Amino acid sequence: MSRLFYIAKNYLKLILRSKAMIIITVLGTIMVVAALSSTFRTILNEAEKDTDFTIGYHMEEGSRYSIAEDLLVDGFEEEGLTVIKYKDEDPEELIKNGDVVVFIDFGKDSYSLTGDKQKQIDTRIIQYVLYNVDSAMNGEFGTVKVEPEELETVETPSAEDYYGIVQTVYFISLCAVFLTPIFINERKGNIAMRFKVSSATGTHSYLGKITSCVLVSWAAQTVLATGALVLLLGVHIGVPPVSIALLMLATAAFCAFGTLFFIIFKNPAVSIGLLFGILWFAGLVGGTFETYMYSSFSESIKRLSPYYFLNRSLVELTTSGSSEYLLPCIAEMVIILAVSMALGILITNKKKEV
Amino acid sequence: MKTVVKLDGLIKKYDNRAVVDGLSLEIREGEIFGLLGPNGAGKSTTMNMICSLLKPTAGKIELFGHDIRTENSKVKPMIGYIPQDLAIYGNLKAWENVELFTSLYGIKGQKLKDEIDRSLEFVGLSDKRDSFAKTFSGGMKRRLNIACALGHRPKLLIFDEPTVGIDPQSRNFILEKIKDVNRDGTTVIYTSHYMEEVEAICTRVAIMDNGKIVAIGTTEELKNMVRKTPDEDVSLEEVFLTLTGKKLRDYVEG
Repeated sequence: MSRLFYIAKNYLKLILRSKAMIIITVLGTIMVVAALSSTFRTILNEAEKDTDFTIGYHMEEGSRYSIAEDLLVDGFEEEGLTVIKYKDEDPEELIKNGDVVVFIDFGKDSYSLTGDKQKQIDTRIIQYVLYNVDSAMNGEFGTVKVEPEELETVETPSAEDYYGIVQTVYFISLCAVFLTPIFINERKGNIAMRFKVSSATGTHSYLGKITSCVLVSWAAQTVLATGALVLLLGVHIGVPPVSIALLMLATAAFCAFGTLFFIIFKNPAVSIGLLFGILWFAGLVGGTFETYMYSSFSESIKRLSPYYFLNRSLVELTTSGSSEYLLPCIAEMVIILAVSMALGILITNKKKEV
Repeated sequence: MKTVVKLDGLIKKYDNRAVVDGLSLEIREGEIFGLLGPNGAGKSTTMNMICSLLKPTAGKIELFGHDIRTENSKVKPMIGYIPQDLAIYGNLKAWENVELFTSLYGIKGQKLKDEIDRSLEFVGLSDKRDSFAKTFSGGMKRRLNIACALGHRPKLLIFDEPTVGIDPQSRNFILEKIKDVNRDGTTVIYTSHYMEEVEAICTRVAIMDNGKIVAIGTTEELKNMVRKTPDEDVSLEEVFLTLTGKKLRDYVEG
């Protein structure tokens, strides 16, 4: 243990003396989150504006639909929609003024539906409900039982929360870059040989690197960058103990994953280039650069990204306080950590002859 | 005197080419043993096998009576290796470099602190202990390179061309320190291309060529091998060139 302590301590010093890299990484996270959340605020906040959903309607006297009027109004109101009965107002004017989103004009034997062009999906849902009511009325109305279907809804996070979380996750995944000063120093001299001649094993050297990298990453990204996002941009990080623990686990997993590149390729520039390339693609698929709710990639490809469960867990912890993705996410991070560490130790020791 | 290093029929082959070819050799306790040879003679490969950095193709290596293949963990704390290339962290201070490399041998706490002070004192860098290694001159870096191998008090020190590219003052200082450490009971293996260095400090010298020892003995014994008359003034360099030839050696490693 003493060997590991002194190795990790001195590696930590090497990393912390590369202040520019740490500052760039922390500031980079904050700047990217600020830029993305302000740029895409309108897209993500669109759904939030629609929480106040008003349906207007007019019922002609003697309309065959009048017997279902109470049923419809009560049904819509139970779902949290506002329903207003109008007499002779112009539907298009009401929609244009933003008074209603959808207007239903019930005639004697038919009805017409006018909806906001920007809210075509909502209009179609109402149309679907009315179609069902109409079909029921054409059959045996007395036996109709309205069973509202529970629709799965995803609560939309604010742009600050969404980009605050996914970009924190993305920058955390790049944290192995902190190892660069160690590998640059070791590449310059014949330090590897000195380690091999000593009583220390490859495992000591590997664990020293991982320990120092994880500690700096926790301090710089999990605490400093995330803290700054919370304080400066008002980002919510969900259920703090769970979210922070998950971020810390992810940090360790990504550090171990990234370290593999440095160990295998030896050349820090090549290692960083490859690592960044792979994680950029994973980020593209996993929701880092386009919101995963509207992602154009297929579900099976998205699941391959290590960000898939992580982004969803953290976002849902923020919006709902819980997430079904949490357990698979923990399992995935533990697997990445364990496999990367096992491979790292194996490769480091294999390069040690005799 | 006890045998510190015993090489028995040592062979190392790369692609069926023997770089070290049946080397047998004994180095005794308290010696400063010089290993000379032209480029590609097999010196570094032999050193690397002694340090457990390379596996021999055949043959046996014993250090302090322990077979390095089966008792590697017993042998390692007894060896100090000073590589030809600087093996120090430029962004660590002098004392931190010594601390890191000494701690690799399980030394900790106050003992570690004492060893750091002693090692830096020994190479004359006490007053620069808090300076970063990257700010050091070539000679200072060489001295720090040596200090990093002394902290665990090895019984066998292996120097691989430790004076390459430094000024005469630093070279002289390092040679004196090698003699000092030897006087304290440490056995030394020393390789260099500077014949006058080997002549100045080594108690016994082996000249290698094509993976084999072509001559071994004290410098005086080696000179006698090429002297035509007993009074002839012969330098070690002349001995070397006579035994290994004057042909240029272009050598590609491994």
